[in-house]
Amino acid sequence: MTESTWTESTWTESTSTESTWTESTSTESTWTESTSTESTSTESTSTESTESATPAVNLLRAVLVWLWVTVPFGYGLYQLVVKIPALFSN
Amino acid sequence: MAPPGWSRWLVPPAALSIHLAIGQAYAWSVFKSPLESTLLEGRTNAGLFSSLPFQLGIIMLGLSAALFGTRVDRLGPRWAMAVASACFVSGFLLSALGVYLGQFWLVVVGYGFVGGIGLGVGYISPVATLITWFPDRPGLATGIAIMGFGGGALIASPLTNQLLVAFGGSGTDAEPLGIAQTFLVMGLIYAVFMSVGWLLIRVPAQDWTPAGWDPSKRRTGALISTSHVSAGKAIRTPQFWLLWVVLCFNVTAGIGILEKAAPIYQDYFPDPAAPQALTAAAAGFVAILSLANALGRLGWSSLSDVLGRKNMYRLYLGVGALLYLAVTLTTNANKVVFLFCAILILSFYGAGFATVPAYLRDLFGTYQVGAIHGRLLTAWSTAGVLGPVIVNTIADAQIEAGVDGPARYTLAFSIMIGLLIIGFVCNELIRPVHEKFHEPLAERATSMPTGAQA
Repeated sequence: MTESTWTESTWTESTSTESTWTESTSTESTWTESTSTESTSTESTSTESTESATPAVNLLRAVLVWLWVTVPFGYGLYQLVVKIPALFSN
Repeated sequence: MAPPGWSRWLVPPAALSIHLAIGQAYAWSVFKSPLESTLLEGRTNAGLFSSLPFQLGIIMLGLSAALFGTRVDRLGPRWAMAVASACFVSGFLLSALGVYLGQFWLVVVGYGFVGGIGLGVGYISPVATLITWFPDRPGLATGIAIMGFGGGALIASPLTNQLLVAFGGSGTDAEPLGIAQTFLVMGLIYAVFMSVGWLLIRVPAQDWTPAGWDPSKRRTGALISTSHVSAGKAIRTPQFWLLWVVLCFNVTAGIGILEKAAPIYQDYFPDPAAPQALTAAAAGFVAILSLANALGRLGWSSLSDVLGRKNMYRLYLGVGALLYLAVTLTTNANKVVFLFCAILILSFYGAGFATVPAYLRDLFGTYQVGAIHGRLLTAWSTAGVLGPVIVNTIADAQIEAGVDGPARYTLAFSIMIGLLIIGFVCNELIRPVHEKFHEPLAERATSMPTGAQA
């Protein structure tokens, strides 16, 4: 039930701030239906809400994922940079 | 969808884990020699055959980005990244099987066709999501991701070399089994590496905005639209095709140097007394151009958030033409000038790729920007053929005619200047999209991507 509450509150916020959406009431039902039928995505939303409650976990996750991509990139960059001095010794 | 409090700075590494992987395509040349000395040994035109997986991959990149762009926008980035990962990794596994069985056609189909679909879907998969997460800095966000594609070869090239050596798949006595094991291990590495992308990616809530950012105070300009255009309508606008020419000729001009970087350097600064030093210097030249290509994607694209997209393309195309002119006129009189011009030209080449998604967002809105981007990438496929054909055909003809040194490239570089000028004019002709192409609000609402909502 947590996820539906969260989803609905999000929707309510969006309708109050975006006139685009409030103009189409038929769309509102489309949106509600899609969120209620897609159980996989709403389940993950519930989990994510729990995860996002702890800033320390968020920070750790951010550090880890940035390391995940920057370490290999740094390796490639190093392999590249060591070739450059030869350009100026010619 | 991202829960409240989800940091948007988790999205660029998700995008990077896909782009750094699929950027491996630019390192295909490392496999050429081992394949030519094993599966293709004794076959005429072995060099042509060994290029086939890469060439088919680039063609499939453009085609799949164009064909699946709308589906990517509809089903969302997680679906797209998962499909891209599955196809890209399958490409490696099929290639491993093909080399193991001695069936080169399986390498072509696996790496080129199946893997190529992964390239196209993967390339466009995070773009629309990044633009939505970074409405205040779309150029920076897409620049980070697309820099990853440029940087992918930096990782893959030494990694492939080391794996080939470790498994006995390189050198004069290369074993097919060693090449097959290299393909297999790389496929498994990429399967793990790319999984972070589709596991981590999130789309923001409909009403989400960056903290402290007021949408009403967003950067405005004649070309920055607050309306939205569908992919189907976008390709009927002159703006799309003008931008298509801009991208195509900017890429063609970059490939003009990138395609033959090492021979160009050796022809400009020959040193018959020290051939090994010259080879090492040429490798250094290729390396510095690769670096310029990758950094240009991030640097110039980020600057476009401040200076505007149209001004940046004036720089890439206008200054690019002047730099080509400088190289053509000064030839090898000054090495520093030559290097300075070549580095900037390659940085503009990379920047052209990285800035174009934000340019599309400015012109067509965020509604189906991923699909529109996918269709625009056919310009890349075209340039991928056009650039090498121009440079190689002309250079080969000059060599046959006995022309030596920088003069071999004078005509090819002059053609590049012409193409850049045409691109510059096309960029000048880009005006805001006529409102008849704009999506009605209700229609846009009902066709919101479920993937983006879920």
